[in-house]
Amino acid sequence: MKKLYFLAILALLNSCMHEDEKVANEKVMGYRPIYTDYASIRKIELQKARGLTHPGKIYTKGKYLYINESGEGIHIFDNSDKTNPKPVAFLAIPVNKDISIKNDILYADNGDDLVSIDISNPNNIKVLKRVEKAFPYPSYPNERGKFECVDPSKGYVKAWEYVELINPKCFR
Amino acid sequence: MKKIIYSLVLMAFIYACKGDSVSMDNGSSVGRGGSTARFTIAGNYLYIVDNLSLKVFRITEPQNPVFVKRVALNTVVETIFPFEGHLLVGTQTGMFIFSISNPENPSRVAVYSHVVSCDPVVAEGNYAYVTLRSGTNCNRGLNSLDVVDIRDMSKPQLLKSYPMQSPHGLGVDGNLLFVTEGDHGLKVFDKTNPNDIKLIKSFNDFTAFDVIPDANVLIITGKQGIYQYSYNAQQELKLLSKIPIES
Repeated sequence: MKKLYFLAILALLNSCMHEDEKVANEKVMGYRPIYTDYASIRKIELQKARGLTHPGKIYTKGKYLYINESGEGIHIFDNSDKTNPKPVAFLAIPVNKDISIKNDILYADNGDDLVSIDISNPNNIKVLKRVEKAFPYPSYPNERGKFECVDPSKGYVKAWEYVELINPKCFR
Repeated sequence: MKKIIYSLVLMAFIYACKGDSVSMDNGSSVGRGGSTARFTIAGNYLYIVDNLSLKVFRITEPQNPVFVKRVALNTVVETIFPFEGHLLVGTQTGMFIFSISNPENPSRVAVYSHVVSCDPVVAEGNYAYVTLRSGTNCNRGLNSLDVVDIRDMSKPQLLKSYPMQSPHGLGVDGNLLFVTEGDHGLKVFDKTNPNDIKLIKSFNDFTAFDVIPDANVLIITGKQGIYQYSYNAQQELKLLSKIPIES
């Protein structure tokens, strides 16, 4: 009797699998990775100050206030006069979210790398070291649902777009 | 008579504790982040939480960070806060406490568990303050502030839980506790008595995500910009400046 149940379950499983194969070209909404090549995300440079658009995390040290621009870098403000913080520069660090500073060295995530940057002169910064693959490669979107599986050979996943996908193989 | 002596002894203790925390802040060469930070520096080490782990980098030579160790946490990690030789790590399943007495090998001393939710954590004196927020990526969950007794780091105990609306971040300084409530603005509490935290003031005219209380100035991130408020022991808050967001 038990064997019968077992066979029945197997048959059910089997039929499910077939079901999946039949709808091989099913169109569904889901997330697709937007790739960018490593050379472009590893370009860290000082730019002239610009306005805030999507501020993320904040960090304060000494007279400076650092405001992350989500995924793009750090606005540096001279905050000696807290009633009038003055923009100094924008430190472009692609795909950046977090920083921490000790003495004059700023540590930042830059895609899946960790970088150390000398900021002793906020008008002339220097990238000192890059620890490659310090963080996990973004292999899935934050949101739950179906998504196109990532292919690290295409570069770094900078963002995800919600679009119509044809039979995506991955989901979470 | 006994009571007076007890209270004097208690006051002396409290005073001593305060002295400690003040001296710890002095001469620091490290900056300060908000409660949602995922990077923190303690001594010659940079600690980073990524999705599912805690990573240790040696920065004895500051310009040359060297990867030392990865500690798997098997839960979604959100924030990290250094506190008196420990790291308080906010995850979606609770607050993990690591001892960093051996800084290259953080050892887990306790887990303060709760329902699945988003939760930064900060600490001061004998207590950790953990906010729990429900939200899209945080499954079910509550909106609350838990005051957790951490006198014994290996046995964190819930002292009291206070309902909140949508806490995103928090900060403490002296008697004051600041909670950023997203679209519900900023709330300022008097935390003198952890069993009876009192709402002093509520700002509802802006959306507030995270906060850094630093030397009597509160820096707040919000949807409309970055605000700085001065505050003092008299519990007065005054807007100093706002860095606007360009549309």
